[in-house]
Amino acid sequence: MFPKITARGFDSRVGGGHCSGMRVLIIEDNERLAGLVMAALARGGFACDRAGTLAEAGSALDVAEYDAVLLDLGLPDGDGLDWLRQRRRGGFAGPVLVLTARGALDDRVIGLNAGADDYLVKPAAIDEILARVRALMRRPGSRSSPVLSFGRLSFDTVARRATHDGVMLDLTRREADLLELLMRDAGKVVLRQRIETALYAFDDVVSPNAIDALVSRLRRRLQACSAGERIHTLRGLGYLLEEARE
Amino acid sequence: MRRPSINRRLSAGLSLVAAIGATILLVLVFIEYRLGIDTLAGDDASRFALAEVSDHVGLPLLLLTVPALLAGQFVIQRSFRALQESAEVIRDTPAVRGVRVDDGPMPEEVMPFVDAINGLLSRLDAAAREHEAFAADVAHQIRTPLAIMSLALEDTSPDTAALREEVSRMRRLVEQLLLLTQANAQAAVPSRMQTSTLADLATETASGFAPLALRLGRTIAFEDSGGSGTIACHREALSSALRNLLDNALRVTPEGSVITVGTGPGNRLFVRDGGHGLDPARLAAIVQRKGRADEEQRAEGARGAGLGLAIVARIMAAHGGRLETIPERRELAMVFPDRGEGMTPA
Repeated sequence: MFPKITARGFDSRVGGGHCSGMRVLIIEDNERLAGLVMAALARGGFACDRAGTLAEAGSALDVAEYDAVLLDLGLPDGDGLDWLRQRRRGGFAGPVLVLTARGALDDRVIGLNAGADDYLVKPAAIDEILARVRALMRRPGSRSSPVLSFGRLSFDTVARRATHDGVMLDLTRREADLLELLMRDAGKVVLRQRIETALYAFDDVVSPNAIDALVSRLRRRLQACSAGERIHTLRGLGYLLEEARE
Repeated sequence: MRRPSINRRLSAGLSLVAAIGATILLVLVFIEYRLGIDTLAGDDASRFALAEVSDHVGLPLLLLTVPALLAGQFVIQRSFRALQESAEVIRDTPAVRGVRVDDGPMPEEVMPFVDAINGLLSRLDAAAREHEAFAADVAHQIRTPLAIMSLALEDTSPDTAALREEVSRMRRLVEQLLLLTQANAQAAVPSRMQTSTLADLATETASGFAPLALRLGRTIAFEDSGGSGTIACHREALSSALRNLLDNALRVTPEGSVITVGTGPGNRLFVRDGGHGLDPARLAAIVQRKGRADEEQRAEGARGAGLGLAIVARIMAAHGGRLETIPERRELAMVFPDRGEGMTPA
């Protein structure tokens, strides 16, 4: 069965032409807001569908595969979080970014518990929404290809090979593991402790500056191919991979 | 459940007194006239006994108890008339500030209650005054970016960058106001307390804040000064409070410098910035929202700078703690009570 196409719901895809094949479903009842977000996502290279109600969203998800879902909470035919909880129980595993006008302190936690992958309070800047959607697609288990990309860096998680602008980076196993960690959470802080547990076995003796040394080696590799992406050190916290600045 | 009544209690009490009195008197009468159960058997004797009993027991008791009951009810009614009248006055009073219960006609016994009510009313008045002042303050702060925006839109080719900045300023302000109402509601009804370590709270919030700081050319560091304990808290509220301190630090720290988030010594979360340090008197004024927005703008070099700190102070108060400044170390700290004491909200 195909979703019912109405004037309010299920707008035609925007910017399908130059997209990277990434498809996003926007569930939002405010037509104007949805239009603005869709236009921005289209500029960012995403193909978008819009559902104005939860019923339409359900039929859309039944017939098409989406790389990410943007979910508003207050919809005319029900509560978005209840709907999400139900879909999750029904086995739906795609990444969901909740975008809502509600902003109570505990809403974020409640949203994440209901199965959302990320949570943004309206009014959110368009760039922020784009960045979050991209970050969602880098998550493990996302439908997208096993190649992570961030800025001009790509990392093939199966072949364990990294390239910058097509130029292969010569990485050791641990350097590659570290780059993958940083790229999966690119633009965010990756805590030192997480790196430690992910890179070293339980009984490995990790000297206090082993990770520092590893990071500087990776940093040098990136500099060697004049990559603009930078690894910031946040003393006492961890590291952050930042996109090249223009 | 039946509500206790003074009238009913008085009647019951007097009845009990009459019953006990009657029994004692009966015993006395029986002893005095050497009456026994056997004498009551005879016709003459029983008539004699009944007459004796009604003369010496029934009559005196009736004469004493009934007037006492009537007098008691009369006194009670009189004493409570003042309360009843006062209730009518209060019922007819419109919801305005400055209402007090008139204690003139009140009997001494109810004065503690009347005083307590009047104390509560004056506290409510003070809270209402504070709210009004705050609303005026907020309206003032929102009006400025609005005015700038509407003027800029009149322009034939509006400066979108400047407009965007004003919009984001307003957005921040609205977010802060929402947070403040939630912090206040939280203080009124302390719910959903969780336990959390201060170190977790600090690293999580600092990590969330780092991308913004880096984008603006500042970096974030975490420092554990020991003694960072576990506290019962409303985690999201504290995280927002810490974020407000970081926002504040971002404003006063020059580009290229470090903002340090830390825990300890003791139950303490601090943010050290690259500014000049905040004077305690100035912090107190900001927290009590005493400075007008204009003055604040001049003092902090940014609109709404103080609102964030006022919110932190309220959230801390709801956790039984406080916000303190150590200007010489350029630190603002959220200080929590020691474990086991004062974890109930203020």
